[in-house]
Amino acid sequence: MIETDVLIVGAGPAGLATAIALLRNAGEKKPRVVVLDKGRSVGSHVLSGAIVDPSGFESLLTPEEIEKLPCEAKVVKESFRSLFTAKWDMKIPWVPPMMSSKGFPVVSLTKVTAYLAQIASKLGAEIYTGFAVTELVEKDGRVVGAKTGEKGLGKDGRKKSNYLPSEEIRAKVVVLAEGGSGILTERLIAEKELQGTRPQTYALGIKELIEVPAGTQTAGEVMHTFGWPSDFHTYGGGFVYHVSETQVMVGYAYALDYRRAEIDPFRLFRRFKSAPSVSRHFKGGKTVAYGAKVIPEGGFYAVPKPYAPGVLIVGDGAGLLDSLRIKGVHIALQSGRAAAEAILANTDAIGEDYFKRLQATNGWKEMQRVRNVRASFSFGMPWGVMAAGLAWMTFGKIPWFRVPGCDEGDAAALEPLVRDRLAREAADDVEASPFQPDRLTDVFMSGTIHEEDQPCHLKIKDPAACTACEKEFGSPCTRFCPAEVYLREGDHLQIDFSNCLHCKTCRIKCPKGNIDWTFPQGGDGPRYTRM
Amino acid sequence: MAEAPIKIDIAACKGCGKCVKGCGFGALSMVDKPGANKIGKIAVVDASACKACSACVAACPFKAISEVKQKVYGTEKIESYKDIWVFAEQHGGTVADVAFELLAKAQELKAQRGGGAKVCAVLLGSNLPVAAEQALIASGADVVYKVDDPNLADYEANVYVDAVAQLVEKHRPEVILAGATAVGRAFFARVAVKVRTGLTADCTMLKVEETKNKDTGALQMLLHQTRPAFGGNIMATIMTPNHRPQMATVRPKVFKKGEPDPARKGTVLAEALKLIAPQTKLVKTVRDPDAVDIAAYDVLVSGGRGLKGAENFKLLARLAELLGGEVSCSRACVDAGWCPATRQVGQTGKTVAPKLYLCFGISGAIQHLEGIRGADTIIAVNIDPNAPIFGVADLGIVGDALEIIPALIKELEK
Repeated sequence: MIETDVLIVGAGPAGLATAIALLRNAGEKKPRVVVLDKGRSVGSHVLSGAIVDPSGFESLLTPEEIEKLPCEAKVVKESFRSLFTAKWDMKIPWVPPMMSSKGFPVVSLTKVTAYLAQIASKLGAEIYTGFAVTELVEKDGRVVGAKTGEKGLGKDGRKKSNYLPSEEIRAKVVVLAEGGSGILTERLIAEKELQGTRPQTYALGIKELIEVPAGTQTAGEVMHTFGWPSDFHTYGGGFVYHVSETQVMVGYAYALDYRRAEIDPFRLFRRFKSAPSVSRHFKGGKTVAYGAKVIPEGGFYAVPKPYAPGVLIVGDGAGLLDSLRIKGVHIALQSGRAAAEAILANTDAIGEDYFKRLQATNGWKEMQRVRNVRASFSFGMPWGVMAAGLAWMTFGKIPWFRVPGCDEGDAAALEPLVRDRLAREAADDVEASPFQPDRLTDVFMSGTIHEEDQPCHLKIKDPAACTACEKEFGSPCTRFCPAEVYLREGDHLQIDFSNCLHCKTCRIKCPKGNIDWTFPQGGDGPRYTRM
Repeated sequence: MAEAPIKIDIAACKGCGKCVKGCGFGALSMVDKPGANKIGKIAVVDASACKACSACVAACPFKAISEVKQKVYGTEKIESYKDIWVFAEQHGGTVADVAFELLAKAQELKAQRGGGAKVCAVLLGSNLPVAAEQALIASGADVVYKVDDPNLADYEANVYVDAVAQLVEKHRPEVILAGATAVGRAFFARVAVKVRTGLTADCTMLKVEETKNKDTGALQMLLHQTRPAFGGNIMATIMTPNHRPQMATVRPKVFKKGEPDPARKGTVLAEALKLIAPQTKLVKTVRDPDAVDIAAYDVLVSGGRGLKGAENFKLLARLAELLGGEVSCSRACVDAGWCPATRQVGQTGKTVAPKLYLCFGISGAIQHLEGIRGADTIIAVNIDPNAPIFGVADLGIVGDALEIIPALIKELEK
């Protein structure tokens, strides 16, 4: 058993910000801070666009440290497009002021996270990667620590020669910084009834890094799109960021409360890349990296009570994200700082203190201002756009009430499959090219790898429910998974768990709630290096 | 019961229990002893659970716990230990490659150490051929200790341990290296226990350097044994300052073999030892057909989803037999249970580099192609003319594997 003052679960921006703020502001007597992450190294499981709102770094890092941030480029030219079909789109003549990000750094969040880890280690944080925290330890209703997962189990559960038992870590405070749809976080929210006004709603973000010939593009140019290939009812949009003269980040986010069971977000992503107004940004390019993760975009009303006795929740895990700009990194950093300050203040009610400090951050205020935007979009695109404009102009005062919408959760939104639509979808595929690789090739480029001789971490709760789902919904898991983990082979659902990108779309969207996402052996999973 | 590596001064113990918390192995507990102190409890140690880590020594605020410096075999006259030994694992008179790799490394260590140390190979077995000792000398052994004894005919850990321990006592080597093979792993740890010294398994780097002994402050030539720890996250360098010999195992292919020099001279010392008798008898050697190392074959006949069933792998096995190769497969076949995982080629299976790779019904996803990048010639049969496998194949046949395999067998059987 290891004893520490603070245990941070997850070495992403929120977790590392907590560690940095703790050690930087602790004064003479520094607390022991242990950070654990299931990725092979820091940043392996971190993925984002990302144009980062730099306000999060202020008063967390010194000006010299901010200067040295691994920033790829600064936004020099931005545009906003509404796509109607592949060929027909409209450039919004001006970039809406609330969406503008001119001068903001364009980064690979993987690299930024690795940089934050360097700073945290230098300050004395102990960061251990390759260890999944699989369980919280409670005593008399208070979280007092956590357990890491066993390593070296065989497929049949036998202990192999490299078996490593679970390790218990006791901490005065546990900080959950697991990211979107964190397993321990969700479990805690359910057990302690911490859920916000409505359940969290997610979008699946899919991203590629494309290398383009030199001299064809300008670094710092960015483009955001909304509309096509999403349907009218679904919140979806894409981005193209020129991080350097030869590298372009292309991504597409698709809300998981989509209704049509035949939808395949990866296929939509490919379609998005094929639009002439998009593909001109990476003409002659070749995809070199790939990744996917879920974005908690429910916003203000979906934020749970982010604490329970002995434990605080920070970052994406608590749904801290501006759902209009789809930016969460700065709020994650601010929440980490707020958590650290509350821990150091060490009052009788650390949790309440943290929540109060979080509510004072500008990130929180932004979320409040756009609190109705996401729900308005569930009524269709025009309502959403209108709500966004109104919310911005009136500082969130109109509408003054909570717009209902997204109240059912993502899985419940799915409608039974219409088979001929599925056939039409499947026929409408984009031609392969170096920047349009197939799904398995993309998965390969994510670097994901899992030891095959271990228990499958994606557990089907009831196989009969899968058979029923095949009849009703046509096994949507075989389509919404961006990594081709689920395959239908006759009557049998084949699960290739070693392809898994840890995005957790399956546990969110499975219409039968039949997939239990458990932790694979620590160190397994994607190996992002520049996502 | 063995004596515990720590000693608790009962007079100084205040019964606070901090040592119990400090112990990572649960070796300490508090027992009631009224009157011993205010609390009325004292700490006791369970010698069998104590790992001598000395965490309790640091945890005790009253300095009531001290380490017992145990008298250990091999701690005296450390200077009298000198040579660098390599365990030469042999099977049927053929020395395993890892021994030659270690001999090359041992020569480097000898140069770093200086002081007239010799590189010696330890060769155990029965009816050992002269060629084995010659090969060892050619690859860098100055001396070969040969124990030719009928008791060593078949490998049994206890007898091997006995032989090596006797040799260590007699010749006092400073360093012993062994390959981290199935044999090396099993018996080398026991040797270390027998001669009461440490052992670092799976080293990836070895060097001899003058180092300050933390206990005595004296400068010593020590073997720096470096290996990955914590799942490869850090490199740990481990040293054995107070015990001899310094023992390490190294996985095969970590170090490079040297060029053998047949003209090299060395001495062979035949050692007649009185060994314990083996307690087991080898009756029969049976090979596990699934434990095949497909990477070792020059010809691989690989099947994929297109084979449609386990029964068709029999056809593939026949074809492999005719071509003098082995059967391998793609991942889909392992998932379907048609073929064991040991035969899987690709990213999560084996990386192979055969001279000829024949694949039937494999579409060639990049995860599979990664595993065959080193293949010289690839011949692919697939029903789908757009399958990516044809992009890498030297010869491609568009057709049903299940028609082509029997035709090939028929032709080859002629």
